[in-house]
Amino acid sequence: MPRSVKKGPYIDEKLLSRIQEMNNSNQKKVLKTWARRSTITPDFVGHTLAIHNGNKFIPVFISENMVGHKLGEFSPTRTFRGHRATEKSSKVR
Amino acid sequence: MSPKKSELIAVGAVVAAHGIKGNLKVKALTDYPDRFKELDLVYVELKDASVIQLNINEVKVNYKSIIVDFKEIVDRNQAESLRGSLICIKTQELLPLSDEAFYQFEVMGFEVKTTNGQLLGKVEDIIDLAANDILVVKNSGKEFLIPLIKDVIKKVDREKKEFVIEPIDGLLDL
Repeated sequence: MPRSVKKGPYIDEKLLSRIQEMNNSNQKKVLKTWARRSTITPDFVGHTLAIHNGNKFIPVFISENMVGHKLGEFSPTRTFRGHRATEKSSKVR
Repeated sequence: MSPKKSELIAVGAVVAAHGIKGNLKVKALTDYPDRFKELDLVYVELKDASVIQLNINEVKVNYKSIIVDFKEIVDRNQAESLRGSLICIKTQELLPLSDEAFYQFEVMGFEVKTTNGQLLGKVEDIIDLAANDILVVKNSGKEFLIPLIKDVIKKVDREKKEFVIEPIDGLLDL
């Protein structure tokens, strides 16, 4: 069952206050967080958060289309690494 | 003459046999699964590391997998024997990319430097994430995770084989 709309999205208070502080001072720095269950709000957009995956902090740049998702969705806890050169490409976003 | 293994790039992995006519179910290892439709000749790297050439007869690209019909493979037993092998193409056959994009295997070993000239290490791996890809940079036991975003990556120099980055506050202390 989804979370009640009446309650609004869950956001870790400490994280939100740190982000609002950075927004007010126009500052950009990487914030470490363990709050994987926090929902991404428009306040987060443009910041880079280091989201813990149980082992290390994964730096994730928050963009507009991530709003409404949870932080943990972008920091996978299991990663498969292939060994062979494949036709996979990457891009600076 | 079959090419050297270093000249081959995997575009698919044979997952299973499909049907009784020798078709193969292939998992795409490329960002462009539709490119299978344009291939005629491919190199198949078998599990024992030997390489054979096969001609493609027909390809069907589904949502999840690709069904490939090779001219030389005519029954299910032959198809079963190819399970676990890799379908490869030559590096010259790679699709051209835009200037901002690069193939992941190309940048392995590139040096990563900051804008003030500090050497962070060499690219050992790239992690594909939904949000942004991440360079795994290692230097004598120390590991840095560098997100591939415009705020951080200032220059990708293919000639010098290096990335120039401007780390955001706190990025190198993770």
